[in-house]
Amino acid sequence: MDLLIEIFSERFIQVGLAASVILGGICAYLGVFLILKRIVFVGAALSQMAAVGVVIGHMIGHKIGLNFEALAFLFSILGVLFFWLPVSGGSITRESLIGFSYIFASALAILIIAKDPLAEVENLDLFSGNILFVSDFDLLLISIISGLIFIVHMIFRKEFIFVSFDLTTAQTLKIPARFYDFLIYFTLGIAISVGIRSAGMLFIFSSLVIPAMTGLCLFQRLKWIFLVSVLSIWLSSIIGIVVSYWFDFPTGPSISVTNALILLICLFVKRFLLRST
Amino acid sequence: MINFKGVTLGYGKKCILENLNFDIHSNDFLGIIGPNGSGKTTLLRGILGLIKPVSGTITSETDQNKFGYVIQRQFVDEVFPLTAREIVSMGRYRNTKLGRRLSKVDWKYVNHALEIAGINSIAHQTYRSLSGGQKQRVLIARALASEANILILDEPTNDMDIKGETQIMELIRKIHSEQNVTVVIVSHLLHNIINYVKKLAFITKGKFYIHPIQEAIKDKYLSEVFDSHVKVGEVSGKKIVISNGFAD
Repeated sequence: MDLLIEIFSERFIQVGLAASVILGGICAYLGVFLILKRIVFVGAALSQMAAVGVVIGHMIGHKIGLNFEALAFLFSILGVLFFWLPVSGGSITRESLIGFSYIFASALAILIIAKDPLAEVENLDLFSGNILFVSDFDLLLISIISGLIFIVHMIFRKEFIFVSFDLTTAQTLKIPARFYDFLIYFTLGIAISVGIRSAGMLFIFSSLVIPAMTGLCLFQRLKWIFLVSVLSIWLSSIIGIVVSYWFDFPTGPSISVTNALILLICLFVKRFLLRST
Repeated sequence: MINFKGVTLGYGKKCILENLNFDIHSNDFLGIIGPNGSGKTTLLRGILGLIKPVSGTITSETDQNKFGYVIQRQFVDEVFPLTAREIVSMGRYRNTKLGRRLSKVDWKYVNHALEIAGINSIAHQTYRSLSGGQKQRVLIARALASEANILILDEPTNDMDIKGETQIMELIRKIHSEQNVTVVIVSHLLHNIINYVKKLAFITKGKFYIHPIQEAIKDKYLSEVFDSHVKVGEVSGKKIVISNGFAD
């Protein structure tokens, strides 16, 4: 207990935990849509596209007067538009376009990093991030953006669920279904772009996917799935930060592994213990 | 209610159906028949206003027409953990304000729709746990909950056994007669709808024909439309369709 008090009395740990809880929480909430809409790899591709924005921002951002966040946001929104627009006919499927975007963005990021010595040093941070070194400004930005995303999702909650479940029927009811569908993608893009530099791709993508899987594994009602999804990333954040402090592990991967272990435990309990009762 | 005048429907530059001229009147029970890929769903999308005509005009009494669309069951993703009642309640969303929950009046409509569709007892079960027939009833109930006066059904008896098919068609007939709802139903099988509809439309080889049911089910005419020997007989007062599968 004393150790926990010692860990969480550190200022940088408090800021890191707050960032992890807020950013992870909003990603876990959005992740439920990501999984139910079967667009998990849109999350991965958007993360990679935001990363391209960050590395470009690192290399030439100061020359064109744009910072990391602005470029990450710009690239995420381009990705959002690309994935949101319907794919018409032909043999090129949406899945293949997502795969293409992921590969193209990954390769591009590597090439840019290769020509930017400083970015090469920060390459590891882009992937695994370092949520403990989030600045007060970053935390404020994360809090405001996450709060706005949460408000939008509370206002449009039932409409978002409807258009995710059955877009065509929603359109026939004269509901602006395509606009709501775009808003889902848009909020996803913003969350990713705001979190990618401070938390890293691994934290963002794992927060989008794993907590929602935990919720879906344990419950069959949406409100419980959303709640468990958010609670599981909060629990992972606390445990992950303690583990990373204790064993001197990188924090993002520690949270992600804890996240995954919680899911595995839930799967095990559901598969073997709950079934036998 | 709806008038098609010289309408061509398609996607982009690709025309699927050309020169459509027909009316859908109040209290019609129209069946649309055509093989898979003939353009039936495109026609439905045109009626629903989801696609604009490439040419021609579709006139719809927009202030009076309330469409209740019943999507093909196969297009509904069962991964969503929603109950039958939650899905039916979606029919009320156009009446509810943003950020608001459904009102007591909305829930009355939902419960009434569940009752008409005969699925009150399964209202709190998840959609994915239901049988094919029950799922179809949920989707029909959702359309009813929206206070629709035109029910548009896309292949509602697809992949059902004979009993399920009959039950769904009887439910649609009941809704048509008791709720005074205009029905437009699409099917790729004539025998599914022949005993229920008042008008029949055929989509075949890019052409569209529409007739009252008595004119449409003449053997010679059907044989021409289907390019095969087709005979309509009667057993116990019900019409049956027989085809030998060969043209002359």
